Amino acid sequence: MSKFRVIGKSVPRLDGMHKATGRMRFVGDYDVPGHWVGGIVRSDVPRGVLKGFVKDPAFEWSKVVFATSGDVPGENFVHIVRDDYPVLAEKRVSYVTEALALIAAPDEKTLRAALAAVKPEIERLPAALTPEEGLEAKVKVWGEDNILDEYHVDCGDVEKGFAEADVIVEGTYETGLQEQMYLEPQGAVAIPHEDGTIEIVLSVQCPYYVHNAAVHALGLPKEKVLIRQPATGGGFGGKEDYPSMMAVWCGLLAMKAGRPVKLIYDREQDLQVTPKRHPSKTRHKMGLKKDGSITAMEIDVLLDGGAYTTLTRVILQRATLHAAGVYKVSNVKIRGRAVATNTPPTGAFRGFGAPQAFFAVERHIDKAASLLGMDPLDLRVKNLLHNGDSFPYRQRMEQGVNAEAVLSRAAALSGYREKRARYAAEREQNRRVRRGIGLSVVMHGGGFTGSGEDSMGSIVRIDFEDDWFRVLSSSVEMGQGSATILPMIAAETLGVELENVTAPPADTNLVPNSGPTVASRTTMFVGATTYDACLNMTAKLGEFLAEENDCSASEVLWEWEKGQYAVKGKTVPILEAARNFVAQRGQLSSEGTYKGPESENLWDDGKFSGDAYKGYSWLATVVELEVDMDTYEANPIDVAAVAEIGRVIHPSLAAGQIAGGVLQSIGWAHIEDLTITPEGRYSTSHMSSYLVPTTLDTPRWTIETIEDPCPAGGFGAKGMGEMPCNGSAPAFLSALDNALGVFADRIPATGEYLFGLLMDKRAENEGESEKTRSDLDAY
Amino acid sequence: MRIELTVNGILRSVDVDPMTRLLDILRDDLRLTGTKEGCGEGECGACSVVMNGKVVTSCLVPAMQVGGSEILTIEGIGTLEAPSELQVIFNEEGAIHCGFCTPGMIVASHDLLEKNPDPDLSAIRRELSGNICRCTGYEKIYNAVIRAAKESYGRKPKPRPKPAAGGRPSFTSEESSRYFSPATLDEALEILKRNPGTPILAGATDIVVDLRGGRATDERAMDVFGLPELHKIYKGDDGFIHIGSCATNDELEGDPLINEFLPALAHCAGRCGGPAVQNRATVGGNLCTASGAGDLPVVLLVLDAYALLASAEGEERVRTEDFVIQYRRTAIGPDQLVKEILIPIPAAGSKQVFFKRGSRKALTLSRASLAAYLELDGNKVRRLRLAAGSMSPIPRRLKETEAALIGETLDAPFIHRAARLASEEISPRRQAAYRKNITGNLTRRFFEETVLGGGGF
Repeated sequence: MSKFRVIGKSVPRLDGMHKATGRMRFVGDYDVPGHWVGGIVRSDVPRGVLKGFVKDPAFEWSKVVFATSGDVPGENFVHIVRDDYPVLAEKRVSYVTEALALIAAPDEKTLRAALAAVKPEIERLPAALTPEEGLEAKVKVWGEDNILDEYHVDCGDVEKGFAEADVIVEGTYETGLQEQMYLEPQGAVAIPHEDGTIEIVLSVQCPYYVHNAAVHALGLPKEKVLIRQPATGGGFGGKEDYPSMMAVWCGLLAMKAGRPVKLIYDREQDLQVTPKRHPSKTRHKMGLKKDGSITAMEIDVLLDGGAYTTLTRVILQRATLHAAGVYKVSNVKIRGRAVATNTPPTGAFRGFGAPQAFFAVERHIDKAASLLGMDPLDLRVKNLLHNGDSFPYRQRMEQGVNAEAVLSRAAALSGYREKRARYAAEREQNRRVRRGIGLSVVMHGGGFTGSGEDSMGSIVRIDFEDDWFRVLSSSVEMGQGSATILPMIAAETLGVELENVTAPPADTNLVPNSGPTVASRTTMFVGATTYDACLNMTAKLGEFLAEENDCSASEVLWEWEKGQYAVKGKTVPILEAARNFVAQRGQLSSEGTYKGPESENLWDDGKFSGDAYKGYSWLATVVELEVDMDTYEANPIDVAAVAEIGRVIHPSLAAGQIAGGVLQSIGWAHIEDLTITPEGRYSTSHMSSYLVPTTLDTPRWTIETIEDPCPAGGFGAKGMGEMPCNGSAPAFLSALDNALGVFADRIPATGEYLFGLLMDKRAENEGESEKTRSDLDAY
Repeated sequence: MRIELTVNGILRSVDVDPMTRLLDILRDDLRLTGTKEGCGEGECGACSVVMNGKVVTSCLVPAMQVGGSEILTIEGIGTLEAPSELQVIFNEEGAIHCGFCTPGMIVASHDLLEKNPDPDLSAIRRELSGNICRCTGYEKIYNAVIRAAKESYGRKPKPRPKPAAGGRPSFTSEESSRYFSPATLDEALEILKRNPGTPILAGATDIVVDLRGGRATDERAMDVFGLPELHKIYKGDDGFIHIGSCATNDELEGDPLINEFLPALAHCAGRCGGPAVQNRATVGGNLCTASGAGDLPVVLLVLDAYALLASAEGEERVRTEDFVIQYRRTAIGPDQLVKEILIPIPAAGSKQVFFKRGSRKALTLSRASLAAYLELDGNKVRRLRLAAGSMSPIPRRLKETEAALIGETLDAPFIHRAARLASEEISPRRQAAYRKNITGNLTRRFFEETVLGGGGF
């Protein structure tokens, strides 16, 4: 029996019925009387100098509002990690679709006419469109060398490690762009109020990021900017940085127009202009003993950041720190770099650099296993981290390392060993449909990298309003369930029923800054902060009861299991205490801050080493698939995913998060195909050609969780939202190895790519047997 | 334009432009914002509603086709105050995350259970394949539908809305010279005679997308989707199967006659677009769009189909390959419409097949497709027609391959040769080696499995 009343139960989510009945309002559902609509004049060249705008005199420009960089009231940048991203381009234009000017019009038709009646004049310059061109730095996209950021991890002596090795394995691994494809496109409404306040309602993950950006760019005092979240129809990182742009544009137009302005993207615009997952190219060099023990790893990670920084710096940090995977290796050298190119800036996407890092390291382990003649499972088990081991950036893990537990359970659940051998043998029978099975094991550091969680100063407030305990935080509900999870934590701590607790949507006038809704930090860190705020609430009410009863606080006993106080022989339920408090003293509220275990090995930004994360989650994914050998279609059939995520607060939501993330990663592995065209544009802007998995592209699921509560997280929870995106792409490709007998080292592994690998293999085989067939065709 | 429609059992009337999307009528005019816009191209299913008993993506339905319709939206399935069991089950089963796909998903699930109260998992996956969820990985959605089925959701009587009054739209006098909504085929042909070149609306699944891309005009249109004459499927005494040009993919897939005589066409119809698109997309529309990526024309080519063109002056028959002239261009005259597709009844014992390679399983454009029709004389090939789609501006017959193989004996070397010839005869501009190889493989598969193996599809 669980010792908890609420934690660990799959209660219906608190916002569920609003969503099920269509009552939930998203930003596009707001009826804003008298609003105008906003649009953006964009660059159609990847690099150049903006000379001005040619406006068709036949269009009546007095009907609309037109704004350029000169109209930005504050500083002309969108404050994210660096202040390098202009709200509107001034002279320099750095990518296709960069915003150059804004238009607000009374209706869509007028807006379309206005957008068609203005042409930017840009003097075109040579552009760097690929990471290779970026590295060459012949074209200066960003700074002197186009390197947005660079990090190093150095541990032991790799030269010594390579010298000790029996085999050296090298490989290069590439991943492509990926679109978040939240179902609700980006949107914002800005409403100017008479007192000079600008209210911006938008689909958002990080209300205070937006607030900060709007204050800087709109040149307003903090209290004059109000950011409100309606429902957020999915984010996956895509609504971490970009809503700051939406808010600033929309706010600027509303201020200039003196009336509300709506800026709601349609899917085409959203796909064409919003940030995607960073493409990556990672080089691995690994030394191993014949028995499989790894003696050294040298890793070079390269991310394509596009034209501006957005969140690239922190994404690169995470990619670098996760690059060596879940293995115990004494000699490790990692270099992580992000290069700027004249392409739309890439940004946050669930996993935040870790999926690229794991794709490379997990593929490389498979490659090494193949060269050593070992099963990939055995090579992994041989080298896994355990409690007491350290990461290469000198974080020693005393507890909570569960790589082996999840891996062995997933292998057992899926029947991995027997199937891996059987499918390899069946390959020789040349069947039309071949099967394969592959696995991966990954982790994810919960919360901000490095000292972020300690320096953030997150606050959660609990108050008592209309007979509800309200959890007030800036952590938004975007589908992941925070509006249910945080009230569950509060209900458990306050000893009340879940029905007595609510978590209203974020509104910067109401909620304190509990930080952004990112980095798998909400349940773990904001949950712990909520817990602290609830403890302060119970203490405050205890003191109140002591005063009421003329006794000392120590004479008031808080009986948590029953949700009541015992004082002078009588009992007072907490709800009653709260009602009395409000009746006598007015407002009741308490605040909490994050109080995690103290680290003795604090993160050092300069050295890029120390305790990088306060808790790591673990996930093993086994993918089983079929490949049609006539059409080279790969289709996932079964997935077993076993995760260790600390205390599981809500099992059903956790399982849904795992399946959803794993499916996104499978999509990334083989069907989500997006490139940069020679013109510098994303290759598609339609859902008919950027394909995400449907029900028919989805495997059967076997999902399990193992609980190992983490002292740093709320009720022992660890971060789990992003980790499912880390592991299934390499597992999928490992299954392709098993089915096809080829080794794929880049994604998306499209049918055409697999066909090419099979043809190469055939050519190789025929070369070896000295056959003289010139025609590679099978016929 | 004024139309009347019944929405969630209530008769409503709205004044809108004829090409306004049903989605906008619901959201803007009727303030029923539970129906969401996720893509505006019929690809995501977030805007699904039930229209006249069929799930449709409301972003692809123009207002002038809505008059007199009965529409069920998420708000009609249940409200926050009085939710339906299905909505409660979705919530209890954890089938809801961000909630943006949820209304469309529940509408599609409701319709599925109404038509098939006990769906198995494969039916659920098929019927929900047009509704994208990016959050959940779908499993909990399946669980919700399965539980609702167990609790007999589909069998329980629900309040039936009253049939809509109204019917055809009333155009303003200014509109009435440009927009037409005829009640009969004869009337439609008269309109075309007087207004040659008027764009014809069938299921409208292409034109709404084309409008967004600036490839079509919404200045003029004539709706023929509702004409009963154009939905008939029957076996004529002239040796042809007659298919009304507005027969939808869904109607083709479910029609007993099509399944008996033209199984490749039935199979193909079930593989173009998601269920909501199949409920609207028509065979005539697919043919007239004349796109290289169209699937039905590939099958029509090998079935030796004719387009029966009608005008006020009379009718004429045109072979499929003479009808689709080039990319987005057909042989149709400005005063003609496609009345029927005529397909000769295949010879007894003949074989036909359609294969498609998309980039994923559902709702996807073909990257390569192949259709084949074969009559054997003992072991020898008497008739053979092969056609490939998506690898040229318009689908095309592989006539050189056919000619080389007719009269030959069907054996293992024959199959090898057939595959090679077919792969050589096509010349895709992009991904050439890959698509040529697939074409060869599918040709081989046709002969091996469908003919030698005697198997079906």
